[in-house]
Amino acid sequence: MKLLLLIILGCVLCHAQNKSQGDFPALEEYEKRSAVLKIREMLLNETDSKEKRDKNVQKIEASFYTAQRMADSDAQLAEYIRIRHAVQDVLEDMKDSTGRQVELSGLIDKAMAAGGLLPQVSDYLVEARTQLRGMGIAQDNLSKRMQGLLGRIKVSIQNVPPPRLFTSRTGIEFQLIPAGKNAFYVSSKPISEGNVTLDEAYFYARDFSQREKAVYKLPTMAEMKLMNQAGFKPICAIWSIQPWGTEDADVVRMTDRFGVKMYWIWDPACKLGRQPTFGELKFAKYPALGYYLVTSARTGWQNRWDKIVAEMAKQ
Amino acid sequence: MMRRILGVLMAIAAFTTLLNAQTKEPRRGKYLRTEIRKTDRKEDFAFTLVESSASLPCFSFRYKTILTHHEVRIYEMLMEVVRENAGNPSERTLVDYILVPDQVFEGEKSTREEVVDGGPMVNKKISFDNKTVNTDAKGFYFDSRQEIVTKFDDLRVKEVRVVAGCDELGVKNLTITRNMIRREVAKLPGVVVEETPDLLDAFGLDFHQPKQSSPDGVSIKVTAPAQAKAGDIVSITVEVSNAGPKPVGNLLARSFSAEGAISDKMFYFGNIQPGKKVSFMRLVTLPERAGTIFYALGFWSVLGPAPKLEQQLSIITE
Repeated sequence: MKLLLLIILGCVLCHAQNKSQGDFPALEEYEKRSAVLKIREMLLNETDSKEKRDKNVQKIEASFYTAQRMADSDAQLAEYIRIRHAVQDVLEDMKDSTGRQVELSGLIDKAMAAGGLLPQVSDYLVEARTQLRGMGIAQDNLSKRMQGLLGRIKVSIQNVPPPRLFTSRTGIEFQLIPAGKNAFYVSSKPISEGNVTLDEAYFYARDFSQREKAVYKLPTMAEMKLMNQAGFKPICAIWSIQPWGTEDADVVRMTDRFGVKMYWIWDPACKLGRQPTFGELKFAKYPALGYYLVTSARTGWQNRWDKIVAEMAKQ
Repeated sequence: MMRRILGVLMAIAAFTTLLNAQTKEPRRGKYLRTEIRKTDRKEDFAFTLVESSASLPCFSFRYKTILTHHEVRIYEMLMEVVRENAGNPSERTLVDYILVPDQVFEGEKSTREEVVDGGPMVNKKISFDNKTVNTDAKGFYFDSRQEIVTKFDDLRVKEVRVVAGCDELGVKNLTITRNMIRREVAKLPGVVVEETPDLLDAFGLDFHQPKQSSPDGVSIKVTAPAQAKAGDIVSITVEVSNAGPKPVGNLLARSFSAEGAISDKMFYFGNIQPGKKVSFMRLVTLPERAGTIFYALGFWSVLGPAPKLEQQLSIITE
């Protein structure tokens, strides 16, 4: 019985060896035909994919040109973000497509190397390879175009003006003081309307910055001048973070020698009964001396960006 | 006839020669004395800065009488007598000087001033820096509003000229210096250097350049009202005590405030030896408005390390 089993096993092994040596032409023919059919199917899929991608790219480019003419900055920024995602998707798709094309190219090579193909099949494979090469070249060009478009989107996003108003995470409204590259935001209302020392204001600004994860501070004199030029009038006298100084070098030297610093106060309504600007000791505390916070234009811009991205993520 | 005429002429010549010998110019002999021929008298006054300890400059006014003596130097009178060597013309002619008795020779004329102290100008009305003030019973005038000290609040001011006068005695000037780094001046024997009165010297403060200085152990005590009426004059006294092991040198303080009336006031302390204390007072006229005035005192050791002694103060005015 055991002997019989051994003989049967030997016969099976011999059959398997003969199969690999082409002893079954029908099966071999079937495999070749299957490979060519797979190549054909993949090629057709790639062609479809390319056509869809080309249409998509046309739409993206059209959307970009439309977005550039949008008046609403928020909507414009949202559109740029959407387009940027779409371009990134296209690039990702092309990356997958390249992988598939490499695989397809390998299959073609394998099929052609196997030989024994009918002439028309062989011609088809040559044609498929040519088509695949053309597809690759077009894809490279498209990739470059998309990269260029990404760059233009990035520049366009950067050129979107910061919002006129924004509300911080903790609910304080800030308004833009337009001054070109020096534009910045100032809190629409004073953080404190009075009875606050410079140190108290400074520490609040520091804590507020930590809570908001952005830099908020007291204004400098240059920023106060820009606020004045922009028609922003504080409702109380306000602290500046900038040490007081005059054009008289001797006076400045005097404060340095004696180690006592004074800081600029802006009091446009002369509520403290002095001049619109003057120096005050940092521990002074008057009922009408408060402070506003300022932050860079970038903070407002980033705030809007974060909100738009969060809304898009919800959708 | 001719002989007679010749004889007469010779006699005249001989007589003339003898006469000349006896009537020579008088000559100056030994110095005898100086005689005052006339004395002019002029009433005057003088004032100077004297030592005071209450941070208020004190000026002493005293009468002076200026006596101008017109003097002449008196010498012996001598007469020159020529002794002719008549017999031998080749020999030298000799001159004798003979003291003329009971006569003197008046030499150089000169004037000499003598200043005589006339005592203090007691209760006298004087003009002092364009203001009319009165001296006290000892002839002193205290700058009770510290106007002179205020002039020195600008650190660029090295000296101040004070003008004082009274109607009948005219006007006098006095230059006062404020020397925050004094150096020892070598005294040469016989050379008297007239020193300009110094404000810090007058306050009895030591501003000589110290050999070592350290602000360690220095403490500050400020005495000032926390509340006052608007427009009042208040005093701010700063007392600096040195409990450290080394002297603190050339110490100054200055007030800083947004309120001009209380700002930029200098406080002088100079060198404070270990275990000693020095105080200085300033008078401040508060503004005519109610509210809180914030001010700070900053300290500066002119030649030493910067002391971190800032004082944060305030006065509420009603």
